[in-house]
Amino acid sequence: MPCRFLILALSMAWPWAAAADALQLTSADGALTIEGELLSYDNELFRLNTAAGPITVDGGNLRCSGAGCPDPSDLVSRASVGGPPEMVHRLMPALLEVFADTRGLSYQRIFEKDALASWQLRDAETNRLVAVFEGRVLPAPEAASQLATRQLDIALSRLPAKGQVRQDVIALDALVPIVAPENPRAMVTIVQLQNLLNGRITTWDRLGGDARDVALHLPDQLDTQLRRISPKDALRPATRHATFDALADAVASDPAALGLVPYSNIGNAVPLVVSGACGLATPATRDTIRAEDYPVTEPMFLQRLGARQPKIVRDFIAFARSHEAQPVIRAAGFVDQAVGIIPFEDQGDRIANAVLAAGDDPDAMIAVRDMIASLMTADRLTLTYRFQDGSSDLDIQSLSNIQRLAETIERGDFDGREIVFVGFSDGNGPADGNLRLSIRRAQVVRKAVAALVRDADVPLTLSAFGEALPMACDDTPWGRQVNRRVEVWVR
Amino acid sequence: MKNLAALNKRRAVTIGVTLFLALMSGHLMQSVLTDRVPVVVVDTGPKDTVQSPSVAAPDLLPVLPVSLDVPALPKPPVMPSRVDEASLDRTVGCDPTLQVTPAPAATLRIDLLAPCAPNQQFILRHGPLTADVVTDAQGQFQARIPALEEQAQVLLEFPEIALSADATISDQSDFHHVILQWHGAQTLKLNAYEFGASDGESGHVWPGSPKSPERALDGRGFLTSLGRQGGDAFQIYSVPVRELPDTGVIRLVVDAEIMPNTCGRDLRAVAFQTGPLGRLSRSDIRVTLPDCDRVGDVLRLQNLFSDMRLALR
Repeated sequence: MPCRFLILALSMAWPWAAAADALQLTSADGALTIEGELLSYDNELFRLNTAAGPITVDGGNLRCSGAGCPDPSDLVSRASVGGPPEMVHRLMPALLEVFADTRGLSYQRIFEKDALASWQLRDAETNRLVAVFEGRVLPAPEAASQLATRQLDIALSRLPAKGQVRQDVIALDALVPIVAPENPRAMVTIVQLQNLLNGRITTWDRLGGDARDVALHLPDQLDTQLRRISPKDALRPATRHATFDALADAVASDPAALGLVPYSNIGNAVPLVVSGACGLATPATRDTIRAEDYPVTEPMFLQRLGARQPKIVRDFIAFARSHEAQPVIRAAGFVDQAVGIIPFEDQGDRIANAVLAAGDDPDAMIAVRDMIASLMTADRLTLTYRFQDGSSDLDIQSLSNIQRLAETIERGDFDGREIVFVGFSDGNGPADGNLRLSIRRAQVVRKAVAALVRDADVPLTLSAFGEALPMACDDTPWGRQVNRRVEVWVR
Repeated sequence: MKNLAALNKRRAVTIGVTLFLALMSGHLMQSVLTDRVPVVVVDTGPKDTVQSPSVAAPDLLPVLPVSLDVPALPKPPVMPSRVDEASLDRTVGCDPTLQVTPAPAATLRIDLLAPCAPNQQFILRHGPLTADVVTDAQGQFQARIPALEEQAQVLLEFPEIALSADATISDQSDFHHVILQWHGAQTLKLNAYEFGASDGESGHVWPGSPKSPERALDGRGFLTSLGRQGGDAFQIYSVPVRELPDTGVIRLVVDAEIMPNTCGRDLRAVAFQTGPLGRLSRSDIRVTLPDCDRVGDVLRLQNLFSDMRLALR
């Protein structure tokens, strides 16, 4: 008994130290017994220090005996989450509250300061504390380094992670140019936007307005994304803002201002439609962002290290990716990843563009006619696959969409219908070469999806139309990237 | 429909949420009922279509006078026998009357007449809202507060009795609410900046310019404050979500004044905001106020509430 006291005292002094009582795990048939000291337990996995070293065992079918057995009712799962304020204070609480509700848990938020909040999930009947999530507002580099050193369990980020980090796309966003409601401009070309960022355009008369200077407002933290718009030149000096809200407010109150913010943070400013020199334009909307038809879409990531998380944390991450979470993400002001349907009737603009682009070329007209005949009985899904520059490698959002389409097929959403992967190319180079490229891309996507669909009776077919249906002008890398795509249609 | 109820408060829990009466131990039910009847007038709304006393009454009536161990009732119990005008006339002398009526913009009009309780402090409760308030020299109290439930109940707790009344607010779910609820010194100020408004403009709604509920007709919000310094108090900003324009946001900011008696201290308060499940979602505020060399400054909390916006389409 004195010995027992000593161990207890030790474990109180170093609560996370290995000084713990021995326990025995025995299988149901008694054939297997493991002895050791408890290192950790998460309601599922035992981590023991045994004579053979530390091991991790799934406790599902094992019986625990001995003084060191954990009391599951004392277990509180903890996870820390860090990222930008709109994800920590807008997205996380909405997802956690609905997640708690679906699992019979009560939800309560504790607000300590603008940079720190936590969320407590309790058993709704017994009021027992089940899980505590702590949310910290952190700049992206800080969140990445805290994740790497395990000071943070989950990083929420607008930048893809490097290294051994698992990441899921949990919401979509896009970078959009904004102006004040009083500003009469409605459109800006990609080249104009580049020149605004690099300083070649500094006055509104170059954009069809008066001679006033353009007051450029940029966020502190999105330079990586801004450089995607203007890759070759340095960004000109601009008024920088620590938060997107402050930026949007500054732009909304100044008719001479132009800013760039995520679509989810437009605030009271007005977005400009981004067009190409050939006149093709795509406004940022939920559908065009989901379909990546809008040129600067920006996935939002949930990142963690490969280490095992407590079960409730893993369940939460699975929920955040799920079909059920999509309306929550949308209501929180972000673009969700629910698979939407764009009926053929709603694509008049695109068809008209295709006819105009074909011009007098008889071969091109035949291609357009074939395409219309083939697709007019089908509907387009918002899922679209796009490729990294000049390759058949999918971009990040598209990789995430492979799994999402497979899940949607397995859920039975398309039972009794046929899924067509339709390949398209940009208009650079000869038409027959582009047609072959578009076929190859459609094959790549179909193969990747088919590999994930286990049992579904949905035919996956493919067709390709080369450069027949441009969505953007081919005069910039941006536009060509938008045009190189595999669309998904159902009929 | 009018409804009178009077019972011992200790038993109010078991009898039903709208029945209360003097906490006078030893008093018999009958003596309380006949001697001193707090009058509760329940107005269920302009249309009076929600519940009829004749439906609920038969089950409840025989129980009440006989035994006090009545199980909790799901609906406000109704006692038609006590609604007769004669009993009203007889008791109108000293007994308090509470009337709760639906008002425009999903609000509740609260009218209390307690002729024998002038300048009397009492607690007003509605949903999560609590306020320490006081009757005037005539024993009257009036307030208009947003309804937080469709079947909205208002409870007034006096030192010895409690009164309750309810009303049906059919447009209650059209409104979203943002609430600050606290006890003690008033340090918090809720600010709503509607659709790009700056400080002092007409779209800046705050305790210094709370605006009228009639603004709801134009899709704008209004602020209601109730309670007294040192006691329970709340501020609530309400806005009709159906009327919100397609674009634009309402920024919601809370200012905490750093005062000589609050600097460096922990600030405790509770915040509610209509959340993703369509109901009020709770945040406990545990903010440490800056040190006393910053007395006179304001600590601005930007992330306590989410700005209001329509879902992106």
